[in-house]
Amino acid sequence: MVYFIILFQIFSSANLDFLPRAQASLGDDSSTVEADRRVLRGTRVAVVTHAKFAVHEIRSGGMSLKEYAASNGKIFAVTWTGTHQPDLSSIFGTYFEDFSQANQAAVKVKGVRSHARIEGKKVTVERFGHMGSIRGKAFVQSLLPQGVSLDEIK
Amino acid sequence: MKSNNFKYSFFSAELTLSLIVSLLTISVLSSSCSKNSAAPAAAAPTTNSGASCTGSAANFTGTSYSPITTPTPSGYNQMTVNVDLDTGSIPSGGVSCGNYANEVCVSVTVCALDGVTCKTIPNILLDTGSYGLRVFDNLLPSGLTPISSGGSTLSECVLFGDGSSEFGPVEYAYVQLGGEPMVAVPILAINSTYGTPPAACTNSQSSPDISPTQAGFNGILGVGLWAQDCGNGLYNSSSDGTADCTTDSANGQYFTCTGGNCGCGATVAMQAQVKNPVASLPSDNNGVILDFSSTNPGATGATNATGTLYLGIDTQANNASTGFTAMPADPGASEFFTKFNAYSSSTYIPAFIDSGSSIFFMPTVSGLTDCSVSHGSGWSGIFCPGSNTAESAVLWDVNLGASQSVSFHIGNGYSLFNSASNVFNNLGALSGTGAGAYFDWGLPFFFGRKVIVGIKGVNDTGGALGEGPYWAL
Repeated sequence: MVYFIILFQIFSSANLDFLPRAQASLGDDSSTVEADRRVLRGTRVAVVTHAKFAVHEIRSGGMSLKEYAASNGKIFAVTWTGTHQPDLSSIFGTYFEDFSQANQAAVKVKGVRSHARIEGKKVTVERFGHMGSIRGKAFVQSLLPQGVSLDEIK
Repeated sequence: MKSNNFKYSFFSAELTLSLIVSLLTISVLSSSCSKNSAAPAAAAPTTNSGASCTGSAANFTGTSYSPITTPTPSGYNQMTVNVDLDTGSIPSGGVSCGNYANEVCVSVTVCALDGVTCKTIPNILLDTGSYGLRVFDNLLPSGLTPISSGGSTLSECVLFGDGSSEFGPVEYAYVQLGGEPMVAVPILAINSTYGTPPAACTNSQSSPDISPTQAGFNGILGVGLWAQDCGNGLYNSSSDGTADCTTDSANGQYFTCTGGNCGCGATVAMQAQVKNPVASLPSDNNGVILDFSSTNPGATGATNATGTLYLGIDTQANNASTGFTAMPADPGASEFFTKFNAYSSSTYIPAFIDSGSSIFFMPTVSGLTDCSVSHGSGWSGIFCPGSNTAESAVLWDVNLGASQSVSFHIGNGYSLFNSASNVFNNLGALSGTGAGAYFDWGLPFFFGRKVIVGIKGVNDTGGALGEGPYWAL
């Protein structure tokens, strides 16, 4: 598996030079995970395959980013945990605007500086933690493979 | 433990191979940078991403400065802590303490390195969930010393759990807590217009906090479990799973600013990282005790409250730990566990104690009706039970050794937020769901008790609490 990753990285890095800069993930094919790794300047670990999805993980400077790909290759969820948060515009891709609009529309109640859970029209985002241990989860309900529970997205 | 497992597996043999892979990839990529930068920019022009960093990452080594000893009056190791009550007269451009419910504030004196150009800044949020001092730039005295390397200066973007962020230059200042000697530490001068912030900061939510009025506080004093806000990835001699800001420029937190562009990650020596000023004190440096034991807002809340922050643990007559039980936290995530009795009772969920969180963030259980049911979707996530509802939980240390039972109440958030009161011990909101569930013991937890915060890697030499990180109750 490790050798596969080495070959994959060299191959894709060389080829991406001739392609538009792809940085999106949610809703895209799992082949875009490599673009995220480049943006994060991180390292990849072996893909963990489950019955109905595969988890692609990137580690970068105290942060772990996991991208959940359905059997058709489409990424339906991402999670992050660690000392900081990935650039959400990059990780959410075309769903970032949906998230931004829902985030801005959320009513700010005094005493709660931001909602921990943001529900867009398509994407749902949960964030929590404290300095040094920030976590988050984002998923697109319509892309969730049948039979996969939200509890399986960790 | 489940949620923390990945941290301990960071530095595996697999990662060593991955690093080699990474080096190979970098060498392949290095010749392609100019091609990429010449292509139409994919990112918005006002943001930076790591990929757009074309300069070399600077390494900031910092400088060491001695404390300035001042006369030490009786009780010099304590500070007054107010909830929704000003801790001093409000400076021009600053805000009051009480912009939102359960805002807990202290005053801090900040000086330039000459030791005499000083300002005492009131209404700074006291935060046991973060590390280091961060003050809005417009309230700081002039002449603080930027940390530089070559022609670049050091900046930082820090994220909080709610998605908000602070950005600005890191500067040396003398900081005085209570009547303690002044200690020189790097602080964050919050300034969202200091150069172009990195994308990690601007795209986290909308933009970094821009002013005290918008943020609701004049600054944040982080007195949590860490001595500095990043570290070197080590707890004693082994990995703690956190970032190593001393060698890894992709730490996502520190950035080098060159010509107004703050897009490149920076490596930062320990002494140049934003530091919890308590850890720098000459003697009272092993942690703090936050004492709100005489505060009881009751079911309907109170107008304001006052408590005391004691600096040091078992270092003076007024900060003894007698009768307290240490609850060690994970040195990486700085969390321990909670079993919330009404919620999946067999589950230990990750937990932390955070005075900067104004309410309990927790899983929902039967009876804790969501406020949106009666008050619209804007109130989604906040609990609105029909009456003040009794709940109970057990706190467990990270090794599942020591435990402590806790009783608390959750009241109707809509009614409480709309009441004339500002101080509450019974406000709750939904945390993550399913596998993302956690328990954030916010400020309501502190009322009616003393909480001890033991700093990572430091021993309670005068007492029996052991080595931090721990909370003790």
